[in-house]
Amino acid sequence: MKKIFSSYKVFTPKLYRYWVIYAGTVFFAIYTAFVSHSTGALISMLMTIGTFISMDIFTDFFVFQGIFSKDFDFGILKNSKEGIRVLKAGVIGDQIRRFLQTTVVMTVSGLCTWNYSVEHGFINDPVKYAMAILVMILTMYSCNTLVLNVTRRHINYADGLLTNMLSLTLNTAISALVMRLYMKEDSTDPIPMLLVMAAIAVIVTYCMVERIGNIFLLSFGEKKMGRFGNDNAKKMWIFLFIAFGIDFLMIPVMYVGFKKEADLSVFLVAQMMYPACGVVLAKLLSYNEGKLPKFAYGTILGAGLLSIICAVICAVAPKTIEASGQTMTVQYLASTYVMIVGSILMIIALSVTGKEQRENAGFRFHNAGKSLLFMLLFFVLYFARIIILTVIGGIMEGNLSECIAELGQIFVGEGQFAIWISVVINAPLTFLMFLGEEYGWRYFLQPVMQKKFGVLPGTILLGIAWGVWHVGADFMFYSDGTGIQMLCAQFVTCVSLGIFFAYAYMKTNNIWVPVMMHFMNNNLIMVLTGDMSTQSMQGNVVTWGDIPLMIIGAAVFWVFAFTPTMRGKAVLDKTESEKKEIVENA
Amino acid sequence: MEFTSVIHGEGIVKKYKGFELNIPTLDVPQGFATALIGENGAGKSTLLDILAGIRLDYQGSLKFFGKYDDNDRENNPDVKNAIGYEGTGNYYLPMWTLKQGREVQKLLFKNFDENKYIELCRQLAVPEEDSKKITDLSDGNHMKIKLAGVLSRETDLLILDEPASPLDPLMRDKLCDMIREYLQKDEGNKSVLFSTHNIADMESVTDYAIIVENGNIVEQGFVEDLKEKYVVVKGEKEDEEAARKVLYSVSSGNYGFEGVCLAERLNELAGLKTVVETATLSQICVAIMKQNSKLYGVK
Repeated sequence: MKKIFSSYKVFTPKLYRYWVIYAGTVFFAIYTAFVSHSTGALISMLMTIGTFISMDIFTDFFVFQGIFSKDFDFGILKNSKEGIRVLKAGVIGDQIRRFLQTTVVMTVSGLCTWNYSVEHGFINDPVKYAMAILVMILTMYSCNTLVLNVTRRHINYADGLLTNMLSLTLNTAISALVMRLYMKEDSTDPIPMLLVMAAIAVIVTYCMVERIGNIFLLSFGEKKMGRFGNDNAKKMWIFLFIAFGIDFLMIPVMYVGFKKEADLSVFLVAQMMYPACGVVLAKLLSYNEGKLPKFAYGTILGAGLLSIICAVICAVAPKTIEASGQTMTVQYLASTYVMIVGSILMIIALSVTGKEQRENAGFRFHNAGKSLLFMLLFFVLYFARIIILTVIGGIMEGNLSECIAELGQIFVGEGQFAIWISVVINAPLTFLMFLGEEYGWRYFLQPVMQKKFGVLPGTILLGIAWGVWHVGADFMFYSDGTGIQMLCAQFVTCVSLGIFFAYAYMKTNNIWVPVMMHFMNNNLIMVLTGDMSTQSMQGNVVTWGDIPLMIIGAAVFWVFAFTPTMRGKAVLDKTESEKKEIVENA
Repeated sequence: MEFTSVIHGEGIVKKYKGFELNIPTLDVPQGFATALIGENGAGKSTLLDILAGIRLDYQGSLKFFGKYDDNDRENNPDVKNAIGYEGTGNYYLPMWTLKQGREVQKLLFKNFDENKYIELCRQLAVPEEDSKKITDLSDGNHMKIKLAGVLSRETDLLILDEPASPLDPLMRDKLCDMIREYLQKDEGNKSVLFSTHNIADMESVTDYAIIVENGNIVEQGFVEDLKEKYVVVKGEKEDEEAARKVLYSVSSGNYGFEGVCLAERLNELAGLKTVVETATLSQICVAIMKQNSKLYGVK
């Protein structure tokens, strides 16, 4: 603690400490009191947030620009082993300052608007009101940190203003949203929001500190050992935290929505983005990854963040509307739009990104011919599985010909043509979600698991992990009271699909192959059921008797476990020089 | 002359675009002041950065004090603390005040003696106001506080990058005194390695010289040995053409010429009217550098 204080002192000039921290806080407290007396509560709070953050970023720019400017290059700090600790301690000190100051300003602001809230019947429970204020503090702090983290290193006098504007817009928008939520409905339960905001605050602070550490280590011109012993372990932890940690953290939030009997489709959309967000953050926060496609990665992170926000809002305040003949929540609709816009942005991003960046991120379309063949193979196998199941079902029930006729309807039935077309159109508009999962599982986790446990055991364990990851949705979305059976069925699906995806990915070294396969797997269900909504996936009843049948049906996939590729050694782990060769040869 | 090495390096390679530092073996003698001499862009600073651990993206292995390798330097804080490095460029944060510069060294180095630092700053006549900003100092004063900082720590090896350049002649003399004083402490266990352009000013304190050109070491040795190896030859105008073949570098005037030549090749000059004199370090260095420099075209 003493070290944090003294390091912070070293990095900040005296004038700043006295004027901005003490005088600034007092000024804003008075300002808030004055504004909230003369204007409405909501506006006053927004004005406070806006002005405060404006000032905070403006002054941060004066204080910290020295450390992050490329000219300084950390000079004397590099001479000591303590350098990185002093630097991080200074940044942590600044984050504490930022948090305390936000707390003071927002508390004063909150106290001044309490009367207004009671008079207008927004929130009149003091405990709830206090929690709402806390949520506001965390939101404001997180946004502020996030924007600074991204722009700080690139700051100069001209960009300072841009950072300011960016942060201001983001903060005010999100604060307004949060405030609207809390102030409007007294029934809103603030605890899930509080938990999520606290988690986000911790993550952004961690990212801020780690990023500084990484910039410092990078200035030595070499990858160095990080906090987790080595870079790969660190990447793994970040990935696991985002892909599984956020997934499990969202289960209680999902439960809140489940209790309200809200449509939880939006959670599934958000969930699909966690693995990719994990990989992107892990890669961005480590330092031996070479050039990365920032635009594409930004798109993934942005889509992930927005869909999580949609999901959280859906849990606390679900709102149902009628759209294109179906009932769905506004939040689900919003998240769908996020994915469509995200997918389009992703296409643009990939087409403007250089070959080296795409190679480093694993986005390149290797082995095009083989890849297309594999996609076709999956399509065939998918229907082969259906046919096997239908035939078995037909034989067991003794009405084989009827079942086969029904099967024929999938291809030639009335209205089926429109569904086929919509599946094809959907591909470029929603592929981001499937990239979201496959980028985490096949691209990132699979080689690690295969290297650690062997090719086939690694693949099967990955399938099981993938199944566990679905646990929230199994109990609250896919099934109706048969959660455990659904979970087991999920294991069967994930392991058998996992084997085939793994095989295809190892053969082609092309992430778009599993992405398209995953897309087909999730979308061809519409063709089977003749229903374009997600309702066919929802609230199914799975019995134990269904599971053996599923295993038999999935045999078309798990036979690939016996191929030589799956019995060999993991070969996907390429060294830097090999990667470079590939880029040069291409 | 036999010596133990305070730094021993093998196969040090660092590639930049259009430049390659390639040093098969490097030995810096313990207990002496070693000068690293070379023209701009010869790779001096890069080499010093590598030795001090400021750059880590090099190939090759290093040994410090005869027992620690470069991983120890990165992982064992004692090794890094025993090396005092002073670099060029923005060594301190530009907006730091003198007080903050002092505070940060207290935080960074366990072996930093604050009183000694203040005392040294006073001796070197650095402005004393705590609130003065480091950017407001002159280049010379900036260098002085860097030197004061590095000398107020308990170190066994100093690595100084161009310490003499921004200093005035009087201060350069003082710098030589300080280096000598440093070497005398602790019975020959302390060593200094510095790079310099000002060979003449630093000659009095240089025991061992390493001459670097185009990323390679072209000559090294104790100054006395170098002076035995190379001599200055002076002669009349008419003998210049004949002598040119033997001499390293020739500067000719209206009446005669002067050049540096290997002592062992002096007999080839027999029959010419020449005078042989002891060379200064700076004459030797210039001659060798001319031989290898891109400026004159490698022969």
